[in-house]
Amino acid sequence: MNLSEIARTTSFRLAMVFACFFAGSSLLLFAFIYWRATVFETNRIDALITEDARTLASENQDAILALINTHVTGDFHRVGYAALFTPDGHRVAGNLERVPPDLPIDGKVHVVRAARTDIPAMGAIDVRLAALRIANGNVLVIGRNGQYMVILREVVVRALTMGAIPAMGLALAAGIFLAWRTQQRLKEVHRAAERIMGGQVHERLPIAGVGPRDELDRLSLLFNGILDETERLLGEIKATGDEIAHDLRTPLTRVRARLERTLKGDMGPEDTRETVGKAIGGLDQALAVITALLRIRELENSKRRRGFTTLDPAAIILLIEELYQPIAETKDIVFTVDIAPVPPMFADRDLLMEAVGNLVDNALKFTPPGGRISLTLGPREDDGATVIRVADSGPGIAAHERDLVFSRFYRSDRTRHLEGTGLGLSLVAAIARLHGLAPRVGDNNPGCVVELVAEGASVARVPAGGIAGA
Amino acid sequence: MAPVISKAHILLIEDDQETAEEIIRDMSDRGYMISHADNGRVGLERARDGHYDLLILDRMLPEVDGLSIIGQLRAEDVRVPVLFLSALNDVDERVRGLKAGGDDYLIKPFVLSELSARVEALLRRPAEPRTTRLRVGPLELDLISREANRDGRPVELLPREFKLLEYLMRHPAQVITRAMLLEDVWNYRFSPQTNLVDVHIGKLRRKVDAPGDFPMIYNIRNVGFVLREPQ
Repeated sequence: MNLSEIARTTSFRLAMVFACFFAGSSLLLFAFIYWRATVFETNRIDALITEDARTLASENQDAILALINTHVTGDFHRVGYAALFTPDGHRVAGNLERVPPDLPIDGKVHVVRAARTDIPAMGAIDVRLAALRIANGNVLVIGRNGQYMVILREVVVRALTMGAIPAMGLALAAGIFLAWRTQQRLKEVHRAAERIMGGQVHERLPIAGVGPRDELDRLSLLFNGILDETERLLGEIKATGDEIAHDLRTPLTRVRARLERTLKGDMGPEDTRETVGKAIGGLDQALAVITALLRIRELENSKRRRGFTTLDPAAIILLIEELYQPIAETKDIVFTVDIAPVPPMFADRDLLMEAVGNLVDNALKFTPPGGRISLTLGPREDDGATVIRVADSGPGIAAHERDLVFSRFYRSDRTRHLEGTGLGLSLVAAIARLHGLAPRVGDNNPGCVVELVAEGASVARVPAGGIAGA
Repeated sequence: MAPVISKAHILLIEDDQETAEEIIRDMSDRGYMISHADNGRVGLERARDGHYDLLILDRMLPEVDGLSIIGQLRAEDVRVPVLFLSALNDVDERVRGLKAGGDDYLIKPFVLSELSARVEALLRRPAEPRTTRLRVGPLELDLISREANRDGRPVELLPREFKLLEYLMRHPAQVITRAMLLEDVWNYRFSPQTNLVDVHIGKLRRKVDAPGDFPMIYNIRNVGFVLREPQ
C-alpha cells in the first residue's frame, strides 16, 4: 500500500483533521498561558518597583544613596535601574544619565526608553520606570528592564516545540497507522466479498475478533447475517428442487411405463382407457406433490399474518365435524367431538380449518371400520394451554417415527403404501408453526394422537392448582 | 354432452400456444365459440370492443399482464365475467386476482373438465340471487323456512345438506366439480384424501331421489355431479 492510497483513506483524513485541530488548540493554549504569565509577571514587577520606590523615598538622603548604590552594584542580572537627581535634573547617583523627559514624576510605573550609564553597549531600550520626588526635592527614579519577558517567551516557545510538535508528529503517525490498519482490514473484506461474488457462498466477511466490536465489525456481522440468510434460502431452494425431483420420480416413472404400454397398441379399448386413466392419476399425484411442497415452503417462509383475525376455534371444530361426520358414518367409525371453552385465537380461519381437516382426514384414512376418532378442543390440564387434539384407533405411529412425521417428505411405514403426497402432516406442521402452535404426536394405545398446542399463549395464564402446589 | 349455453362467445387470452389449442379444442367440442389472443395488448383491445360472454385470462402474459387487463376493463366498466388461469398458487395471488375483478381463479395445471364446469357456472350466473324459493322440476326449496319438498313430499335435510342442495339448485343442469363444492359450499380450500364430497352427495341423493323416483342427482365420472330435472 502506498502513501497516496493511505492519504485517501477516511481514517487518515480524520487523523489529519485531529492533528490540525490539536495544533490549533495547542497554539491557543500556549498563547493564553503566555499572555496570562506576562500580565502576572508585569504586575508583580510593577508592584516591586513601586514598593522599592516608596521604601527608598521614606529614607534620608544618605540612606537613599547607599541603597541606590547597593541596588546598582548588587544587580548581577543587569536588570535594575536606580538613580537620584537634583530638582534641576543633575544626577546625584545611580545608573541613569538623566530623568527621561517623558516620565511623569508620579510614583507610578511607566514604560519609557532609557539607557543605563554603567553598560553603554545596551543602548536605550524600553524600561519600566517609576519616578517620585523625595522630601528634599530631589527626584528618585527606579525600575527594571524587560529581560524577563524575553526569558518567558523563550520558555513558552521551548515548551511548545518540545511538547506540541512531537504530539502532532505522533498524531500523524497514528493516523497513518490507523489508516493502514483499516485499509488492511478493508482489503480482507474486499477479498472475501469477491470470493463470495465468485460463488463461494460459504465464505464470510472477516471479523477482527477480540474485544468490543467496532463499526467495521458490526457492519461485517450484519452482512454475514444477510449472507447466512441468503445461503439458507439457496439451500432451501436446492432442497426443494431435490425433494420435488425425488418425489416426482416414482409417480412419473409409473406414468411413463403405463403410457409406454398403451403406445404398444396391443390393449383393448377398455384396458387402454383404464391405463391412461391411471397415468393421469399419476400425473395428478405428481402435481399434488409440487403444489403441497410449494405451499409448505410458502407457509414456512411466511411472516405475514394478513388473513389472521381473532376467532373462536370452536367454530372451526364444528365445521370440521359437519364436514367429516358423514364419512365417519359411512366408514362405520365413531367420530366424537368435544369442545370445552377456550380463549379466542389469533388465526387464519381457512388455514386452521385446513390443518384440523387434514388431521381428521388422515385419521379417517387410517382408521379401520369399527374404530373410533375423537376431535377435542380444550385447555390442557396442567397449564391451561389451548389444545386441539385428534386421536384415532388406527395403526398408530411407531415411537421412533414420531419426531419425523412433521418433517417434509417423511413417509411413515403406515403411509407408504397409500396414495397421497405424504406431505399432509408437514403441511399441518407448517400451518401450526405459523399460528404459534406446537405440533405433537403421541401414542393413543392403540392408534395415534396428534395435538396442536398453543404453548406461547398459555404463559400469561396461571396454571390450574399451580399456586396451591407452590 | 351438449353445452347448456350454446353460442356463448368466449375470448381466451393465453400466450402458451399448446395450452391454448387444447382449451380451444375442448371448448369448441362443447359447442362454444372461442376466439384467441396470444398477448395481453391484443387481448385487451379485443376484449374492449368485442361482445364476449366470458374471458379466460392467463395471469402472466407478454406486453400487458392479466391483472392490468382486468383492471383496465373494470375501469372502463366492461362487466364481462373473467376466469383467471394462473400458475401462481400463492394464496395472495388468488386474492389479488379476485380483488382486481376476476370472478374465478383456476390454477395451472387444471383438468379440462374443471375448466369447462367453471366456465359454465360463470356463464349461467344466477339471475336472481335474492329469490326466496328455488325450483328444479319437482324439487322445491324454501330458503326462508329452510324446507325442501319433492312433488309435495317433504325432504328432511340437515343444515349441511340444505346448503349443498341449495348450491346444486342454483346451478341446475350444470356440472359441478368437487373442488367447486368444497370452495363454495364449505369454504374449504384443501383437497381431502378421503371421498368427502362423494359421501355428502351420496347422503343427499338418498334423500332427494327416493326409491321409485326418477333420479335427479347424477355422478359425472371423473368430473363431478349434476342436478337435472327427471326425464
